[in-house]
Amino acid sequence: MCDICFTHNASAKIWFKDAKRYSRFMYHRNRVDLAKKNTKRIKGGTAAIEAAAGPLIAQAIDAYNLKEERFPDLMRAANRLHVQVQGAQTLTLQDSLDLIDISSPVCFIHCECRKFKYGFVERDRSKMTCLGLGIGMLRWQKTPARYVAGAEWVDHDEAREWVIKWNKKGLVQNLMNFGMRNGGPYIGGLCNCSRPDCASIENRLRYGEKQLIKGERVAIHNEEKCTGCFKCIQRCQFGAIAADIRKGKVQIDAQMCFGCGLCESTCEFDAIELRNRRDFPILRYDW
Amino acid sequence: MAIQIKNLDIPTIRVKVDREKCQLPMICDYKCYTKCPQGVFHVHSYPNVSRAFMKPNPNSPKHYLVAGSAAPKCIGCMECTKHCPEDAITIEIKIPEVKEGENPYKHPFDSIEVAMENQKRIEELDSTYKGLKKI
Repeated sequence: MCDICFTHNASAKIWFKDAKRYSRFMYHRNRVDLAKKNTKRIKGGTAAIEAAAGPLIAQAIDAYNLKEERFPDLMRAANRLHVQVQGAQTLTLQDSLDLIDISSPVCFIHCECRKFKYGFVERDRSKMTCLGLGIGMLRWQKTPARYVAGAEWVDHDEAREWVIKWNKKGLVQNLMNFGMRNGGPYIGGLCNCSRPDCASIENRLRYGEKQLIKGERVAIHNEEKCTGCFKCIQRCQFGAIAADIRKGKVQIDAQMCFGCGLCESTCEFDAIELRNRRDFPILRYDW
Repeated sequence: MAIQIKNLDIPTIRVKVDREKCQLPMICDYKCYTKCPQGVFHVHSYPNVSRAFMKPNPNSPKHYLVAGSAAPKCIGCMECTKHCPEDAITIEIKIPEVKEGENPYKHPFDSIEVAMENQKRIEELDSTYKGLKKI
């Protein structure tokens, strides 16, 4: 990426549309640079920090079951670590198409969550649900011992069709970022997630851990247009939509909504509208 | 079982309905009750429990009372204040403290430059809402 690209999108109003976040420069930057007090590089690089995150979360989950007093402190520490190491945010379909446009090269990879949970590795190209973005994927291809299924390189056009296919089937698009450097994270992945498999959705909804943060938009529904077909309830992965029996219509809890836009795309009557989260005085603090 | 930790990052909110101004809820067709997407407002019968045996008369002005009883659900969309014909509703928001050099909206990934640009737009937007009070 050249200098023009660095400055081109620098004034983007949404943080993930800044072209700098996908660049080689950001990928190779020292990850420990956020803790300015000890600037020396940690041995083992990124793996050392990632290795620290796992046990901490496991401790927190144990504390939730056994010692309730320790749970909030551990959770706060885990949240802080997640911002620095690995985070995710839900996207709308349009935003995820824009994400593919900005980054290159692009490849299909297996789902890491399914591998950790069930020991299941997808090798069939047509059924892969995750997309690796940017230069980090070259390293992914080089280490088949850890990244078992390897990288399947694709065009941008194929990737776009692929995202639309999974969106129709009802999976949520999440971006994955790896490590905070220089005022923002490096973005390296786009996942199609479903509730029981995805670790970040599950941890967020079950334990309140902020690995996954809410999207830039919220679904607000129009009661006059709603006919009560309840099709959107099936599509929501986050349990934000409920049937309001008194009115015979649907009710969306905006504080539970992650702004993925799956409900909007199924509604035949245009009763659901996606609006900017920052327009609402309360929701703009709620990520 | 989803659990909810008390989140101090989210501002606390209070929805106030002025009882002297809101005396004719039947005429406006309960606009706040029908327009609110979150179901914050509830309609009670105005006399207390002690007078519950009174014969209901929906047309008498003081018989019903609208109250923002489920205020924590409110998201501040300001639809209720926009549609209220009597300007009886005020929404009070207590904003959490922000340290210097931090993102004012607590977004973990936003850079500060982007956040400040958004803040300008947001302040302009807030000045167009009526009935919004920041403490």
